[in-house]
Amino acid sequence: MRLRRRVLSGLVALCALALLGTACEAANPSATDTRATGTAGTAPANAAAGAKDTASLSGAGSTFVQSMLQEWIKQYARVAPGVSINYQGVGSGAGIQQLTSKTVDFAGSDVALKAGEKAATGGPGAVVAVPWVAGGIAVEYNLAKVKSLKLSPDTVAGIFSGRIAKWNDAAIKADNPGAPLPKVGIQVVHRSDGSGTTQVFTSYLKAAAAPGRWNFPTDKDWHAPAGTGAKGSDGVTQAVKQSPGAIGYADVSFPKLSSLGMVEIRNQAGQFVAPTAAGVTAALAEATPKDDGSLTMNYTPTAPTAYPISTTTYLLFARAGDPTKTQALRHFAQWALTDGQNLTESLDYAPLPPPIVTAALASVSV
Amino acid sequence: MNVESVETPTPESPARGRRPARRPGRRVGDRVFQALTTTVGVIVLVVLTVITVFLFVKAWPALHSAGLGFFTETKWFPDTNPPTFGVAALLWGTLLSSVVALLIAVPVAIGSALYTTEYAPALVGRWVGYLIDLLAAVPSVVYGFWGVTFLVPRMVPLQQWLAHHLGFIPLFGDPDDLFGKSMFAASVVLALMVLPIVAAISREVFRQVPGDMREAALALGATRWEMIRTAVLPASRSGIVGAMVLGLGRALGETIAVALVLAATFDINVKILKPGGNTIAANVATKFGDAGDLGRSALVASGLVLFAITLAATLVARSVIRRTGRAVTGLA
Repeated sequence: MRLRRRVLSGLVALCALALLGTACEAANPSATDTRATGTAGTAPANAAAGAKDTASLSGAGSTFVQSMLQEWIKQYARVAPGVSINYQGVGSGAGIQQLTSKTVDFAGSDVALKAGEKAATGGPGAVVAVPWVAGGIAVEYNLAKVKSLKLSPDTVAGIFSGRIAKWNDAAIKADNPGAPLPKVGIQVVHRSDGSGTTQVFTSYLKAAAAPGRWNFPTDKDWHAPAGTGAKGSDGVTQAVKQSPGAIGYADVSFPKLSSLGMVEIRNQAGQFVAPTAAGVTAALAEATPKDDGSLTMNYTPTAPTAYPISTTTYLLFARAGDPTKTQALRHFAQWALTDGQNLTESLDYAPLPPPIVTAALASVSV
Repeated sequence: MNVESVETPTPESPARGRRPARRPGRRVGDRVFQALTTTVGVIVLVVLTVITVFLFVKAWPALHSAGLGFFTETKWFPDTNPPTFGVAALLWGTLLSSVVALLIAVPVAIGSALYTTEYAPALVGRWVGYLIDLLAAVPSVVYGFWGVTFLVPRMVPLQQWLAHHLGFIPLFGDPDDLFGKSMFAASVVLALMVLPIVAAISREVFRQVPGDMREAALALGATRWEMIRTAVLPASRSGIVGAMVLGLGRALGETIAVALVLAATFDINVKILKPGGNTIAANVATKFGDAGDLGRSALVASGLVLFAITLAATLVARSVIRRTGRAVTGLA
């Protein structure tokens, strides 16, 4: 009796499950259908290159590119439904390490491979470096009454080296006549973790400040004695947000999200420029592509619209990997460099200038 | 090996060996169980050995490169050329933050344990206990996030007050007016994480104190406070020391909460209200992602140092427990 009841209830449960299953199956195709037709209108013909690929790609590395890449992955899934891409923002160094030990198919890195790393990946030319998106690094500050702040490279170097310690310093006043600069001390916040952002920022200071104004190494780690560290761009931004009088540096998206002020930086042409997408793209146009696909940045661009603290970030993958995966990766990179560039500005990145895209596309297909 | 030598010479073993001979089922059970426990014991030893060897092998390039400077250098630039790195500032920060955390947490933990066992009505005591235990279930990243978003901004007035009134003590000297990310803030977060461990163990230890001892003290005319002082606390001393060591272990090894709260700088400073400072575990968490080969090796080497400190703390505590244990039994 009891047994029979149990069997019966089991049957009922099975039926219910089966019903649910068919319902789900019935619901699913329609959902994918609408999605497919939805993108068919927006996706141009060349996106079809990867449409027939079937591969599961895993990548790791730069956190700078992460939110762009998440959006690309989402959009690319509609273009190439057979390709699934998974990316973990673990830091550029860790990404390169994982690429070298072949635990991932590609790496995202804010810096190109060094000679030693090239040797570890199988010699020069074994790994392709493709610039795939540009971005500006903003100097963010917390001064409630100062809505707009303009700084020259020498003053930025002075602040971040600790030489300029008060907001009402003569050097800051000279760039901002009439601004209500308070008498409080400047609290410098820098990254405590190794970071491509620090590398770019210190490279900029070294290149743009007058000789002798910035005497610290350009490195992923912060060397100057001033200020305190915080973990990640989010940590730096939060610390700046919390303390009146603080100043830090982070990718443009962070101060925007926290509605912090961003410094207008004086460029080589004497113009004070905010970190807009147009300014970043203009600066990137003066970078020089190298043989390995990476770019030599010019931190003193001469265009009047250029925002000088601009950088690019790279996709790294091995030429001689699993052919199916490499093919799918090439197609994805081609898509990111063409259609993908249209998505950059909405996420506070900047599109690469056309000559760089052309060079990058060439290095992808070789 | 160790395990066997402990198992065999127990006095009961011949008697135990003879009886199961009549009942074979039990003998099989015994053998299986002994084999199981031995295996597990050996596995633990093997894992520990493998980890230690691994740490040594991975740490060797960094230790070789830095030499004795590894223990005196405060800066941490292992991936530059030439590399300059050492564990001195990290070691100082680790010890300082843990000790301050214990100084804050232990009195509160013992007080709460005494309240729940000695003063509170049974129901209230039980619920206070549950709530304190709940603190241990909060993930450390949540403590870190809470610390940096909620606690740090609110630390500023407290730090200013402390500096104003106790500034003559070097520990509380000149804080930074506007910046709460100090060693003290990190210690407060650590104290919260240590608190449930120390409180839970102390509570159990106080419960173990025999009722006779309490009643004897009360019968001699002691007030409740005198009873706690003369009967409960002396009998629980070794247990409290054990609780403190477990708490210290937690504080020494805490990673992400400290990494989020501390404004990482690499200097040796007694002024705990100033922003800055760093710990070994927090430094591993922040630097690991972008470290190069020597950088990773250096981080592992710092982990080895942490391993050694924790071991030393445990050994010291063991000797303290043994001594106080003897003192108490001698008294009884």
